[in-house]
Amino acid sequence: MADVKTVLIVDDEQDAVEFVEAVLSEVGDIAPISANDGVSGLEKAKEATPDLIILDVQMPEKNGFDVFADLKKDESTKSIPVIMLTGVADKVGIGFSAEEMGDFIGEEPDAYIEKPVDPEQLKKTVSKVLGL
Amino acid sequence: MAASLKTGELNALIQVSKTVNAHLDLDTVLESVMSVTTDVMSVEASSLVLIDDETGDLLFHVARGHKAEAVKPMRMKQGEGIVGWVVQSGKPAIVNDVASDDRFFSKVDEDSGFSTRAIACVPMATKNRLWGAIEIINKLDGTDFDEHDLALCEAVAAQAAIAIENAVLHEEILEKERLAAVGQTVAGLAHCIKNVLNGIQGGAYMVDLGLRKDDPKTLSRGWEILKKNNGFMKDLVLDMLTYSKERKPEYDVADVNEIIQAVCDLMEQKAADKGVTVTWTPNARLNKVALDPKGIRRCLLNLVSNAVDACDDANEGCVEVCTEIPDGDVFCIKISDNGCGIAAEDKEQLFQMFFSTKGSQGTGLGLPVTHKIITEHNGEIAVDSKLGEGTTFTVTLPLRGETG
Repeated sequence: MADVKTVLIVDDEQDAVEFVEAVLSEVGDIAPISANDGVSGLEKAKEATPDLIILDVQMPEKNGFDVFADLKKDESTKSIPVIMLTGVADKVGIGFSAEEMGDFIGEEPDAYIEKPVDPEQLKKTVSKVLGL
Repeated sequence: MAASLKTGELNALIQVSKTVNAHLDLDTVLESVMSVTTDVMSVEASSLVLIDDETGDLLFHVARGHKAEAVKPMRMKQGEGIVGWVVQSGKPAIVNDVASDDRFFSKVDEDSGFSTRAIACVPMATKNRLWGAIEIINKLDGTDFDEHDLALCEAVAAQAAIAIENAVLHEEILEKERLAAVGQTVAGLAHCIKNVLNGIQGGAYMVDLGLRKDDPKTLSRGWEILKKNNGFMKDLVLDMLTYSKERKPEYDVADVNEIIQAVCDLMEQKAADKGVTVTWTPNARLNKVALDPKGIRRCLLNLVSNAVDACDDANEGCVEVCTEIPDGDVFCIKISDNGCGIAAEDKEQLFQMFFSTKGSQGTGLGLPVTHKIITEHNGEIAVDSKLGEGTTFTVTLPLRGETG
């Protein structure tokens, strides 16, 4: 029986979560779970220790970069692969560029995918990261 | 020179200095400087020439005297005439009999009908750059120009050069700021549009998936997402256009209560989905008010929508819209919520373009557009908020019963 992979989707836009879930439904045996903000995303990551986290960057209160940094600091979550979803924008006040990782602690996510998300690119990246 | 300055000359220098420091409009400054110079030195004519950045030619930026209008359109080459010599050499010159000086360029006199007898001319330069020259022509009393006149001219030229340098630097700073603002606007817009495109991409994907897998639930959800993001794109474009245009409100006599009712009706479903109650109280005294109904409706829609969003996490979320008339000249519309409140540091940026506390769900254009529409009405918008407790936006508008 195929191993079911758990993928945690963290994005404040529920539409974006459903989009990613729809794409994942065509990748393989994946059980998606989701959170709509950075704080609950971190909590779920610690509870469920998913096989992959798909993490949006621009979220209110705790953005994706800060969530990533916290994931890497925690023993239970530091090894979970992360794909970051990001729009490219100026760093000051609006968003963060895909290249500038100033809030990181020396680690990088396993992949970046720029919005608007290309479903085929997402499928290939998820398959590769999960080894499917 | 300072010891032998006449009172009038000293006063003139002080006036020139004050003018240079008071204005940034270069033309005003230079006209004023040359006007003062012509008067205090009692000369028939004067001019201020600037070096054209592209060609190096000398342009008569200011000309005083009875043939000034004829002289102004002329241009000379560097090295041409006494003024051209001064610019080229960087040295001052006194020529009290121009007819006997080989440097004199008679074409200006020939074309303008002026008759030059004597010239005193000085370069106009700051530490970093030579900008042009100032020349004074024909003392009214017929006497010769001397070193004293030259020194006074140099003092004026120094001030004029500072004015020119300041104006050029100011223009460069403005241009840099403008480019930076344009860059930030474009980046902000691109970010908003990318988020909406992501929604459209997602909706379309789910519609396609629903059709392929014969899954009506996915198909239907995808279609909803498509419609919603289509609406976002429309709002974004409308907000961009409103924000970018100078516009006057299209005044009409309207019932403020009807506008508030329409907004609350539009918000009913969204509020219900989030478990938020929206209430409002009619005010009979506001049934005939001159305003731009569409503009104010847009403002209130934005404010009430934000208030409902703020209540997302609140138990028994509640949005209240009420009006008051503090005096006969203005009326207020207050939109209050018991939601998450706004942090003090965010309050200062609320009306800036692309600032949003809603992550990717906010375009950051709603409040700037609201602020613009209200300002165009000669109104004001104020915000009072406590983090964790709630927010009240107060819109104050002139109370007029007629559009005229």
